[in-house]
Formats: sequence, C-alpha cells, structure tokens
Amino acid sequence: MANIMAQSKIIAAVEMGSSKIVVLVGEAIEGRTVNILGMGEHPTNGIKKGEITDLKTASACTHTALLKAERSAGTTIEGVYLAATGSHLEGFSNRGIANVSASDNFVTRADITRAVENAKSKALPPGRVYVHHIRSGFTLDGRPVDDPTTMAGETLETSYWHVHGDEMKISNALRVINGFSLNVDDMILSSIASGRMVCTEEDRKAGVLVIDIGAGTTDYALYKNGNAIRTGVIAVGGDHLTNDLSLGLRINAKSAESIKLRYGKAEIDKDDKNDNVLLLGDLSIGDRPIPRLAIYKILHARIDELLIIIKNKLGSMASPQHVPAGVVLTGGTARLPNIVDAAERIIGLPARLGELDSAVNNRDLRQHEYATALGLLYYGAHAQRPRDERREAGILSKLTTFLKFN
Amino acid sequence: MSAENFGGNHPMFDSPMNDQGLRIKVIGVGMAGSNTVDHLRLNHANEIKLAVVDTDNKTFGSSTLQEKLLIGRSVTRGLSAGGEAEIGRKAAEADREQLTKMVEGFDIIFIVSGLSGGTGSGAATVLAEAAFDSGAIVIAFALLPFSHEGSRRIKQAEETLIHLRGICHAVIPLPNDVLLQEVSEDASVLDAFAVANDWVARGVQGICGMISTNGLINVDFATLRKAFERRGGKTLFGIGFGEGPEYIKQALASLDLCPLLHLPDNKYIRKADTLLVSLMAGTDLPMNAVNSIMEQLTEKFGSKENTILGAVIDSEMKQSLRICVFGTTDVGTTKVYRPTERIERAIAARAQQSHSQPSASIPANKPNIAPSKSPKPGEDQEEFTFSSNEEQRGLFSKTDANLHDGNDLDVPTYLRQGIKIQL
Amino acid sequence: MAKKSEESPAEIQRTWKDLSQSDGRRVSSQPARRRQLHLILNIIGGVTLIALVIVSAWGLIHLLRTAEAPGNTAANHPARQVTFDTDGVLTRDWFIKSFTTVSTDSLMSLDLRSLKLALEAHGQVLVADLKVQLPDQLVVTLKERQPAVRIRVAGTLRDSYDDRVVAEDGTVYKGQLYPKETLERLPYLTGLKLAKQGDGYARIPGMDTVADLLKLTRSRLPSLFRTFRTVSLEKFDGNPLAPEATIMIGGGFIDEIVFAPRAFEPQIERLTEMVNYAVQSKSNGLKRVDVSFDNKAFVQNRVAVPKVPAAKTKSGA
Repeated sequence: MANIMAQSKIIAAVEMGSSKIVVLVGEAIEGRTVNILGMGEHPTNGIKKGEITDLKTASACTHTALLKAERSAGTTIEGVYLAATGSHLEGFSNRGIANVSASDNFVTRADITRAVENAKSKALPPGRVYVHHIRSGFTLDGRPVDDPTTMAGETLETSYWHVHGDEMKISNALRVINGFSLNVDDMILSSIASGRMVCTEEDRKAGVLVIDIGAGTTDYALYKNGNAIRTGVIAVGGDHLTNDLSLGLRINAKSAESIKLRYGKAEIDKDDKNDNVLLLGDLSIGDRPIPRLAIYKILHARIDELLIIIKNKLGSMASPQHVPAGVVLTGGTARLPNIVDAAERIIGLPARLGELDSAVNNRDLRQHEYATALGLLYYGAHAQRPRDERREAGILSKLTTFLKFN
Repeated sequence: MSAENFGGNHPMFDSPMNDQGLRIKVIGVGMAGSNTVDHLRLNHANEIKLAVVDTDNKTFGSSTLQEKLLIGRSVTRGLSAGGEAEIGRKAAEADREQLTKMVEGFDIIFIVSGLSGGTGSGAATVLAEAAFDSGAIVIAFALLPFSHEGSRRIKQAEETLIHLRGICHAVIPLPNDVLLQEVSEDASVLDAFAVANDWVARGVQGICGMISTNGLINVDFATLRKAFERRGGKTLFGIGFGEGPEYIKQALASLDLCPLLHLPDNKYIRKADTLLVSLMAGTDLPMNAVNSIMEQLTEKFGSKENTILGAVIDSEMKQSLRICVFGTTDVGTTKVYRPTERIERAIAARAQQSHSQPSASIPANKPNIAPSKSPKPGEDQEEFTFSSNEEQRGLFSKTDANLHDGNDLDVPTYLRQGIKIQL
Repeated sequence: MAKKSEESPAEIQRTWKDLSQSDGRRVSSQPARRRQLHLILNIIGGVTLIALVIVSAWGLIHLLRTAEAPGNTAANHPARQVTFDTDGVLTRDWFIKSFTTVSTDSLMSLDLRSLKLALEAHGQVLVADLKVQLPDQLVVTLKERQPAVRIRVAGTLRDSYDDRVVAEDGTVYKGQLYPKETLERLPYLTGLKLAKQGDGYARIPGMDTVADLLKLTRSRLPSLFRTFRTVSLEKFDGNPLAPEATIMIGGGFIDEIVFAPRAFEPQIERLTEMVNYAVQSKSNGLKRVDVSFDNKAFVQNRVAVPKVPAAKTKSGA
C-alpha cells in the first residue's frame, strides 16, 4: 500500500441536472477503491431538459456546487468526470466485420483491430461529435465470445453502439467546467453512469433496462451480455409533470410541484375516489379544492406517454426473453408512487426500483439522486487503473471496499 | 362623454350602429370561422353586423346570415381551399376589392377564423389587411388546431398567427386543445366548437358592451382606440362569470380559472400595458363592489393608470356578474401604431359621409410628423418569434422544441391527447 | 470494462475530446474567481514556503558543514573574530576588554541588541552597529561622538576631581583612549551646574551653539583658538535669544572674549580685526574683547602681557 499516493488522483463527478447540480469528490486509489472525500449540491438555474439554456447562470450554479464540494473535501479537484445528457445525444449501431487472416484460423490482435476500425469507420455530419463508442461484444462465426483472441474461427464480427451529440451543446458543458479552471477528463452518459450503480453485474449480463427519470430528462440504457447495447435520452422528466399540473390545474409551478410530491401517482386505480384535495392545505387564503382524479389523469397521461416512447424506441429489443432482468427505475421521479406498476404495464417487463450498490458505504449517498454521480466516480476510479489491468476489471462483487465515505 | 357629442339626435345611416353610433362587424372566415359566426348569439345582435367569407360554396348553404361573400371563385371554383393557406390567400387576393368593400365604414372589425384551414389562415390575413387599411380597430379571434391534427397544420397555424399579430390590433388565440378542456368529458368535438362560439361571443360582447351607452361606466371610442395603439403585441384575454348570492366572488374565482389566462405564455405577460375591463351585471351591482373588483383586477393584471373600465347594467341580470378582461402588451411590438395617410383619409371620408360623425373615432394621437409608409405586416414581425405552441409549453417556453414524432413533448400530454381535466 | 473503448483510430471522426477545453471562452463566475484567487494564493504561499525551506536548508547545511569542521562550531563557540571599525578612537581591544561576554559567550547566544544598548550607553559611542557574520565573525561598527570641550567634575574622593569630555551635542562622558594632545587642546567648560542623571550627567543645553562658535574660531583664528582655556556658560542657558545671553571665552591672549550666542560670523570678523590690530601693534595681549553688540567691539587692554607664540605668525591669514 506504499504506492497509494502515487496512483491516486482527486477527481470530481459532476452531474449538471435540471433540478440540482451534484458534485462528488473522490480519490481513486489504484482503480479499486474510491474514497469519497466530499460533496456539493446546488439548485440549478439555467439548465432545462438537461441542456444549458443560460451559460452564465448554469456556470454560476455549477461552480458554487464545485466550490462547496472542494470545501467539504478540503482539497483541490484535479479532474472532472461529467455526466452527459440532453435529447441532442443520439446513438446508432454499427457492425464491423473482419475475416480471420491467419491460415490456422486463430484470431489475432490484427483481426480484432480491423473489426473494430471497420465498426467505427463512420463519419458524423458536421456539428456532431462522438461521445461514446460502446462495444457490444464480439461474435465469432455468430457465437458471442468474450475475448476472441486465441480462439479459432473464420469471421470475426463486432458491433458498436455509437453515441454522438451536438458539438455546441457539448462544448457549452465543457466550458462550464473549464470556467472553474478544471478540465473534463471524461464524459459519460448519465444512463451508463447510473446504470452501473443501480443494478448488478448479473443483471447486466442477463439483460436489463435501466431508466433514469430525472427532473429534465429521462435517460435509459439497455444492457445485454454486460454491455450497454442501446442508450437514449428523452427530454421529459419530473419538470414536465410539474408543468402539466401547473397548466392543467391552473396553478403556479410552485404549487404544482407541491401537489406532485404530496398527491402524485402514476396510475389510476378503479377504486380511486374523486374527492378533492386542497391546493395548499394550510387553510390560508387562496387555497382551493382540486379534484384528485384531475391530478392523476394529468400525471398518468404523461408517464404513460414517456414509457411508450421508450418502449417504441427499443422495439423488439425490450422483449421479456431479451431482458430477463426487467426494468430498473431510478432518478428523482422514480419516487412517484405506482411508477413501477406503470412501467410493468406499458413496457411489459418486470420492473423494480433500483437499489444502490451496497458497496456504497455511506447510507446518505445510497439514494437515487446520487446514482449518476456515484457511477461517474466509479468510472473515474477505473480510468486511474494501469492499462494492462483494465481488461479484467468490472466485477463489482470483488470490490468489497468500493466506495467509502470519510 | 362622447355620448353627449352625439347628441343622440343624429340620423342613423345605413351602416349598422349601436346606440353610441359605433359600427361593428363580426366576420367569420373559412369554415370554422363562418360556423362560429353563424352560431353567434349576441345580446344586441341587431346592432352588430355579422358576415361570413369563404371559398367554399357549401358553407353558405347552411348559413343563415345575410351577408355572405364567396371569394376566389376564379381560384377554387367554389371549392374549399383544401387546407392550403397559399390557396386561401390567393383566393382572397383575387377578391380583395370585395373584401375592402365589406370592411369599409366600420369602427371595429372582429375577424373569427380557424387557423388550421386554408381559407381561415390564408384569407384571414388579407381580410385583416383590408380592415386595418380601412381605419377600423381590427381584433381577430384565432382558433388554433388540436395537437392531434398534425404538425403541418400546427405549423401553418403558428405562421398565420404570427402574421395576424403583425396586422391586427389584437389577436386572441383560442387553442382548441384548451377549449376542449372546458367541455364535459363525454362531449363531442362539436361541443368543443360550441364552446369556441361562446368564447367569441363573450369576447365580442365584452368589448362592445364597454362602449354602449347603457353602461354604468362607459368608455368612448377614442379611449378604446388608444388602447389599441400598438399592434403585434400579445393579447391577454379572459372571462369570468358568477351567479348566486356570492356572485362577485364567484365571478372573480371563475376568471382566475379561465383557461385562456392560463395559457402558460400569459404567465410572462401577466402585467398588461393597457387593460380593458368590462363588467356586465344587473342593477343590483353596488358601486363599491365595482371599485373592489377593479382593485383586485388591476393588481393582478396591470397598473391602475392604464386600466379602462366599462360596466354595463343589464336589467335582465340578477345576482350575476360577467367579467371580461382584455389586455394588450408591448411584448413583441416594436412600433407605435400610427394611422397611415390612407387610413387618415379613410377615416376623414367616413366622418364626412356620416356628417357629424364625432371626432372621437379619429385617433387621438394624431401624429405631427409626416405619416410613414404603410407598415407592411412583415415589418412588424421582425422581433416576433412567439408561436402559438409556445403558449402551451409553460416552464419550457424559452427552450428548443422537444419534438418526437411531430409532437412537442413539452406541451402537456393531456392537452395533446385531448384528455379532459375536470376542475 | 468494455463500456468505453479507446480513442477512435480515424481522425475524421471527431469525438468530444477534440473540442478545445482551453480556448479562453471560459465562463467565469464568482465562485470560480474565488477559487482561482484561492489557488493563486496557495501557489504563492507554496512558493514562499519552498523558498523558505530552501533558504533555511541551505543555512542549516552551511552551519552543519562548519560544525563538522574539527575543533569548534560557530554555533557554540565564542566569536573567533571580532571585526571592529570606528570613526573615532576606540579600539577592538577596548571593546573586548569592556565587553567580556563577547569572548566568553557563544556567538549564537550573544544578545546583539543589549550589547548595542550597552555600547551606546557609553557616552563616547553615538551609534553602535553589530552584526553576526556566519560562521564565526562579530562585526562591530561604531560612530563616536567628537569631543568639543572638557569639563571638570567632582571626583569620587573628597577634593579630588575628574575630567570629563563634552561632545558637540552636550553629552558628558568619560573620554577614553583620546590622545593626550587632543584632550589638552580642549578648553574647559565653566560657569554651569552639572545635573546628575543616572550614573552620569545630563546633557548640557546650548552645547551645539558653543560647538559652532568654537569650530568657527578654530578655522578662522587657529592660533587664537589654541590659547583658549575656558568657555563660560554663566550667562548662557542654551537659549540663544534670551536677553543678555553671552558666551565668554577665557584664553591666553585675550583674557576674556564675550560673544553673543548667535550670528557668529560678524562677531568673528570683528574679533579678527581686533586681533590683527593687536598683533600689528605688537600688543602682548588684551584683557577683554566684547563683540556681542552689533557693529561694535569693546576692547580693554591689559597691563601685563603674556607671550603669544602663534598669534604673530598666523593671525594675518
């Protein structure tokens, strides 16, 4: 353990959410453990639907959160891992095929490289930049293989899920971090970051759909064989529920938010009575009764629509035989009662609320709203790992001491 | 008051006038507009002229109105414009002279039009131009299509709305999605149209009622005209009704819930720069109640200095109150409206024609600088980027559209899917 | 962890990593600026600390190196060398004899400040400057007072007396190591009561005026100056404007010269005339010359004339 200091780096996981900005500061040690040193949160302004609408305000909010985090950690952040979200992020799948060149039909590194390059050889239209190239694994003559090297076969195939985004929007996000005199070491899709934290490696191997419903966006990732094979961002989140309520009930946004939290529900049950609930509930002037069903109908319509969009985007990939581990919901809006039932009904898969990995020692952090930031820290920690070790990484169960809070 | 100027002893000329001598005309354009005007039930129907304009012969078959104008026979051969605004526009352009004749000699022209239709959107703008040039106050009620009518129609409606705002003194958007919310759950689309008719009727009545002389407090036309100095701005429009023992309180509460005041976009124009308040009540409305209503309304919508109040006493109303608020804002306007030379002439000609027509109808703010070139609608639109859908996005009104399969996801799902929310 | 692959091989496919993160279009904010300031201060602090560490380390190494030298260390041995410098007459030996601690205490334990105060308590020393120069040197630089006149004070024994020296600023002190001729040439100060102060005497007021007078006379009339024996402050209390204030000088050629304690130039001129006149008239001396009145000089001749050896030769200059 003498060389811990030499290998560690103070990194910050930054999630610029539409309702709040979360910053976790951690020290990655040898890529195995992350010591969480501090955190900072700040309510967001200038970010809507996961995208920056006002650079100055968004910067000020993010910087405040970063400063709080640095103070609570008592150290200086050296690099940032940033969560990427926003509906500008799109993905496409691309295959790469290489014929095994060696006469003995054993796959060589050169074959793999050719297959990978083949898969990645797609240029983007101007104004778009790649965010991720996620490999969905290899198949050798149609059989899925983990590591094709030294295996025999004729055709090596690999498939990638490429995520790309709007150059301006991404560089705006970078500018926010740069404004704090920090560089973004890596950018990771929100869904992939939170997906890492809310379900198990077994889930991801078997096939699981992680849906992170935040305030401004809903980010999803479909895992199969341990890899994310589809990801997506829909710019609909808890803010839309609030907005719908505000318009439908003709109340201001603040009251709508409160109604959502107090009475909100994603499903309408037959025995729901159409009684009235009070808008403010504090007997003050201006209070008025609101029919309970009106609230339910508005929320129900929105949640249904959102889930249907996800289901349609995934198509047949979201069938029970492909996704035996079902749907895992996370994010702040996952707290809406009955949302799990809605997900089961619409997507047609068993659904549950995500549970944060028990490897997170600190209970306060084991909450949905921190899943993304924790996931970012996880990836941050792994990036610090020496290159040759990286390949065999990824089994969370091994990481018994993963993440502890000082 | 201008009522004295009239002296009440001027001969009524052939143009229809209400008792103040104001000539008002409500023109329905296109199928939806005509339909609405056709069914318009106004209290003083004989004082307000009604007319319809369409490209489609069929519309007129069902219309009971006397004044019908078929336009663009050469373009459409008496058929519908087929939803194409361009065709509607061409049809109207072809018969512009007739349209001009139709609006000539009126003080206030209301245009009722469904912006999803070809004639409704295409011809309405031409008619509005003609009406504006005649020197009248032009107020348009724009029926906006349902979300499920498809993005092409919505886009057309949005474009027309922007266009209309640049021409008319006031445009009151009536989104069908929102109107549908007003009817009971099992109501049909036809009922929704009935609701639209009702809104238009109440709006026309509210504005006209303010000027009528049997008012408790009435407004002269010059004042009204001044309120419409600017054009291209957004319009705040809302009505409320209350009856029973607590009718005043109820009317205010109902105004508070008026869906048109809750078009999210109105949240940004809560403060009107000029606010017209029209009250209609029975003889039992106490004067101090008027004051307290005014206080509440001005606090809510604008400043006292810029509020114009009109109150009408209807002897048939007992323990009931109808409130109509009508506000204009500077949001989006860039120029102060100045009557063009042509309009001045038109007004002057009209004054002569009606002999002692009071000067009240001539704009009070007669410019002492050389009148500028007639403003082209396009010029007024420069800083104008609002669209009708913008008004249904609330929190997200300043963000990029959130398009998915032609739907803007920022618009509440219940509105787009026509799910009725009973309040 | 096959989540994220390595960089794309082809250059045409741009990733977000190709976006510049340092193009200066940064969006700053108050917290960011606060942090930047903090970082800059930290850096400055760090640099200062490092500099301090380097300097002290260098000093320490230097010390240790000398410490390792066989025999002694500067740190715990008395100063091996005392470098002594003065603009007066005191010597290094005097210093070492008077301040024995210098040769007994180690260089590091010397209290330079108290040493300086002790030195300056000697009236003869005006300013003392002490420096330790590593490894083993004590550098003493003195500025001494210049003696203007002598004064005779009561001695410790009955009827005995001691001579003290008075500096130009009025300080009375025990002159040390002055050559005998220097002291003998100084006139005595008379006609005043010395006030005791502590171990010594209080400053004499008006000495600066007296010193000016003496200096001027010495440069203008050097031969006459050599005959001066006493300077009386009987009628001068330091206030040159007091009525009737006069300085009286007793000497071998002129028994008593009376000066007004101001504007010495014209008085000396008149005195020079008188002396020249007396020398030309082969006078042997004058009893009293009073030049204290404007434009006038009162001269009294005396009967017995002592020999004036130098006045004859030099007074014409």
